[in-house]
Amino acid sequence: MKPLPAFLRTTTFRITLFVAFLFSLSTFLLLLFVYQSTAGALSRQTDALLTQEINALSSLYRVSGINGVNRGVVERSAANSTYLYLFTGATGERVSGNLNGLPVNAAGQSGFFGFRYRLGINLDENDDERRARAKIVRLPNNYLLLVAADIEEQAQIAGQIAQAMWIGAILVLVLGVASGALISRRFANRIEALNAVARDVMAGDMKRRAPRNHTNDELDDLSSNLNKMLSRIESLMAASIYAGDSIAHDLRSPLTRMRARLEQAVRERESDEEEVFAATLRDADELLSIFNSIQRISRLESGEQRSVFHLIDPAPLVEDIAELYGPLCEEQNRNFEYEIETGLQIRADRGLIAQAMSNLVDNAVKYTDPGGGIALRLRKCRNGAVEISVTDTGPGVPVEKRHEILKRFVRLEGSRSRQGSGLGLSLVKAISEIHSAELLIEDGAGSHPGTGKGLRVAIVFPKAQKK
Amino acid sequence: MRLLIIEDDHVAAGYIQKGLTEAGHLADHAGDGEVGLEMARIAEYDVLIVDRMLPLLDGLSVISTLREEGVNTPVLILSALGDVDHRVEGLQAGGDDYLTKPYAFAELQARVEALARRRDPEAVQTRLKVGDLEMDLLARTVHRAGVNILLQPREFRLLEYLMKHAGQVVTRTMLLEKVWDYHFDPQTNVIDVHVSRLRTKIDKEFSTPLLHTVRGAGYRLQA
Repeated sequence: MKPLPAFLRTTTFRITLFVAFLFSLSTFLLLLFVYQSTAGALSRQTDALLTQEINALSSLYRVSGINGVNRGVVERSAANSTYLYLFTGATGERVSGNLNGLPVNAAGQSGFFGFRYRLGINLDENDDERRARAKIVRLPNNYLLLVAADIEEQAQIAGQIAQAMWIGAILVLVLGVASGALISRRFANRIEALNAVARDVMAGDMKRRAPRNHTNDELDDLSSNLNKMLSRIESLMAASIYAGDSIAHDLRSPLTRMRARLEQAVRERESDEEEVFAATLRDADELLSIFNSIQRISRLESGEQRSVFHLIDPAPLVEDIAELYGPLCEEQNRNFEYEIETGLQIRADRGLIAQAMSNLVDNAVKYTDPGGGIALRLRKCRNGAVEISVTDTGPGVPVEKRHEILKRFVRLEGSRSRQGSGLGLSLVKAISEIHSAELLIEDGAGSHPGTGKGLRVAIVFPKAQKK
Repeated sequence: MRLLIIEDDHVAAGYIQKGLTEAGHLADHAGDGEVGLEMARIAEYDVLIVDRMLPLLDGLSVISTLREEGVNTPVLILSALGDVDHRVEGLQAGGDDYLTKPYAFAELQARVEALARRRDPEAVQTRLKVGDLEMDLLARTVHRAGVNILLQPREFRLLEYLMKHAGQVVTRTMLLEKVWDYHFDPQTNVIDVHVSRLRTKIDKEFSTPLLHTVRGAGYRLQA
C-alpha cells in the first residue's frame, strides 16, 4: 500500500478528522431538531384542525343522522373550503364531498393517514399529484366520513429542510476534513522544519538552529528551547574539545621533558643518573596528579558522588586550613591572616570543603609575590548565608576573564609558565556546585604599594536548613 | 615480613613483588580473589595487599570473608576508585588502609611497613622513645636529652605519628591523611614546611639529627 502523504499521517490530521466528524454529527442533530420543531409542528397543527373538522361533522350525525352529515358535507364542499371531504355509503359508493372517490390506500383505514390526489378532481389528468393528509371516521351502517387537508406546500418545506440538513452535515464534514488537512499540512511543515534541523545537527552541523516565527506559540516555544539546547550542547562540545586540546597540551609538556631528559641521559652516559630518574619521576607524578584531578572533577560534575552532607560548624575546618598553610606562607614571605566567625553552620562534606579551601590558598600563594598578603575568612553574610573567602594581593583577574578561569585547564596569559594544572578552580567550582554554594570571583582589597589589585574568591553557602 | 599480593594485573603485581623482595620482604602473589582467599587462610602473612577489583571474587569480599573467619591480618586495599565514598567502603569491609592507583612504589612500601607495625600487640602506650627523644602521651610533653621541647598541638601529633613509626619511611600523603585527616594532594609542599619546623625544634640544638628526609619518598624518624 502506498503510504499516505506526511500531513495525512499527522496527529493533527487525525484530531481534526475526529473533530470534523463530531461537528457534522452535531450539525445534523441540530438540524434534526429544527426539522422536528418546524415540520413536526406543522403536521401536528394539521392533525388538530382535521380532528376539529371531522368532530364537527360527526356531531351532526347525533343531531340529524346520516342526512345531517350528508348535508354538512355538501355544504362544506361547496363552500370551496381548504379541506377535502368525502362521504360514502354502506356499499362504499360516494354520497357527497369534493373528492371523487376513496383514496386507494384508504381501505380499512381509520384515524390519520396520508394519500396522494390530483387537484381539480378529474378535470385535468395532467395536474400534479399532490399530497394530502386525511382522517377517517366510520359512522353506523358502514357510512364513512373522510376529511383531508392538502399538505403539499408543507411537505415541500419539510423536504427542503431535510435536504438542507443533509447538505449541511455533509458540508461541515467536507469543510472539516479540508481544513484539517490544511492545518495538519501547516503543522506537518513546521514539524518537518524542526526534523530537518535535527537531522542536520545529527549529521554534524552544530550551527543549525530551528526556525522561529516569534509568535510564542507552542511550536515556537519548542523551537526556542531546542535552540537553547543546541547552544548548550555546542558550548559543551566546544568546552570538551578545548579540554581535550588542553589535556594534550598539559600532558605533552611533562612528557616532552621526560623524553628529552631520558634521551639526553642515553646520549651522555656520564650524566647524573639519579638526578635524571628523580626528575622523570617528578614529571610522571605531575601527569598522575593531572589525571587524578580530571577524574575528581568529572566525578563531582557528574553528581555521582553524593555523600550525605551533614550540618557542620565550618570554623574548625577553616582553622585547620589556616594552621596547615600559615607556616608555608610565612616561609615564603607572604603575610597570612585569618578571621573566623564561630557558631555558624553549613551543610557540607568536610573533606571536599577542605580541599576547596586548600586549592584557593594554593592559588593565592602561587599568584602573590613575596611581600604580598593572603587572607582566609569565614563569616556570616547579612542574609544568613555563610561565606568562606580567600583574598590575595596578586595581580587579580580582569572582569571579562573571570568566567573563563573556572573552566578546566584555563590558565591566563603569563601563568602557563607557573606550576599547576589549571584544574584547581574547576575543582573548587565543582565542589561549590554540589554544595549548592555560589562561587564569587571579585577584586581583592585593592592596590597597596608594590602589590597587584588582588583577587577575592568566595564560596557562599546557602543558609543551612535544619532537616 | 611475609606479604601476600592479591592482584590480577600480573605486570603490576610483578613490580610490587620485586620491589618488596628487594626491600627484604617475602612476597607471594595470587592472581584472583579465590586463590588469594585460600592463600590468606592457609599461610600466616604480616600484611595482605588486595586489589579491589579481582576476577572470581572481588577484593572487598575477600577481606570481609577473612574478617568473618577471624583473620585479622592487616590489609592494604589498592583501588582505581579513589573517592571518599569508595575509601569508606573499603575500610568498612575490613581494610586497614586504602591506596588509590596509580601510586608510587615508595608510597606502597611505606604503607605496608606501617601496617605490619600495627600488628604488634598494641598495648596502650603512654610513652614513646626514639633515641634520646621521649614523648609522654599523657602529660603531652616532649623531651630530648632531658630538655623540654614545646610543641604546637599539630606538631605534637605529627611527632607522635613519626615516633610510632620510628625507623620506617613515612610519606607526605600518609602524614596528610593520618595527622591532618585530609585525603587530597595539595599542590604545594605544605607538609614539608611543617616537618621542617618540627625538625628545627627537635634536631637543631642537638648533635645527631633524628628526623631524616628520604628522597623521593618522605621522612623517617630514626635514632
